[in-house]
Amino acid sequence: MRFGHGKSAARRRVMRPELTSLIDVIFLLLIYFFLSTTYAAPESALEPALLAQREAAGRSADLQPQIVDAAIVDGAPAYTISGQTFRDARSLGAMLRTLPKDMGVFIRSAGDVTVGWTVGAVQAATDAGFTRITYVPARSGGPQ
Amino acid sequence: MRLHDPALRERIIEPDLISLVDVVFILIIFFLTTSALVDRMRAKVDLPVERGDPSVVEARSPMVINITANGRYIIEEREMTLDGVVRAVRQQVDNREGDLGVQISVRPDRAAPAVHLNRLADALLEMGVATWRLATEVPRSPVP
Repeated sequence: MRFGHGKSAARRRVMRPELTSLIDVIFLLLIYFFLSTTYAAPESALEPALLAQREAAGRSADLQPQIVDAAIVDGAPAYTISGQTFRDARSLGAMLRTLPKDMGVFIRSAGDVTVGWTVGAVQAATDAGFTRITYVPARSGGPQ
Repeated sequence: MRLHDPALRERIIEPDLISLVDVVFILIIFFLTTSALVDRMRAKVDLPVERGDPSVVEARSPMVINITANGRYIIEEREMTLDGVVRAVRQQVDNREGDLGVQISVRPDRAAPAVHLNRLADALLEMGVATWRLATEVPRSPVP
């Protein structure tokens, strides 16, 4: 196609966009965004159901739910289930894998452990294949 | 194609820079606004380092409650007491009456005592909120 080189000065003016300034602006914006962006670590989520302690206690008489207590035992944080004590989430997870999954599991956290320790139990239950995980907030400092 | 008419040819070639710049500025304003909103939701806390549950679908515009290491509750950059959190959640619940319900994402610091998480869980239960999400930070190296 021929677009008529040198036809008229007016047409040339119309056809010449100010690309240099446009690129300048775009580069300035790019630099601004690079500088203003802060690194945020990728986040995920766990979704345990919430259940009041009184309801959990009511069910325990009928169904004997599997309850993991996250609490301080002998001065150190521990997970306790069925009388067994675990000092890390990995060994708790190994134990949870052997349990039946259809009943679900309750995670009961004492107030004196850290949130990280509590969430570790929820993660261990998730990794063990439990789909019904219920968080039970303990009202006192230790397990009940 | 008819390109012999000089007037028609000019219309085709002439780029409309003004509209282009308009669109670019609208996009910039959009990104600036949304990124600022995301930053407002997320307080600076060290989340528990866990994989999370891959099956949990990211909530659309959840209400984000941050819990700092020393047990302060922060919603949208505003530090508040537990009573303040309750009022804010209740307002959300009332506003979304008849909807799917308020979606709450809790971002706790991993070093925070679990008692603060438990108090929040109790308060949410009192309001009839039975589901929540616990945000975690995806570990950089895969956990065995």
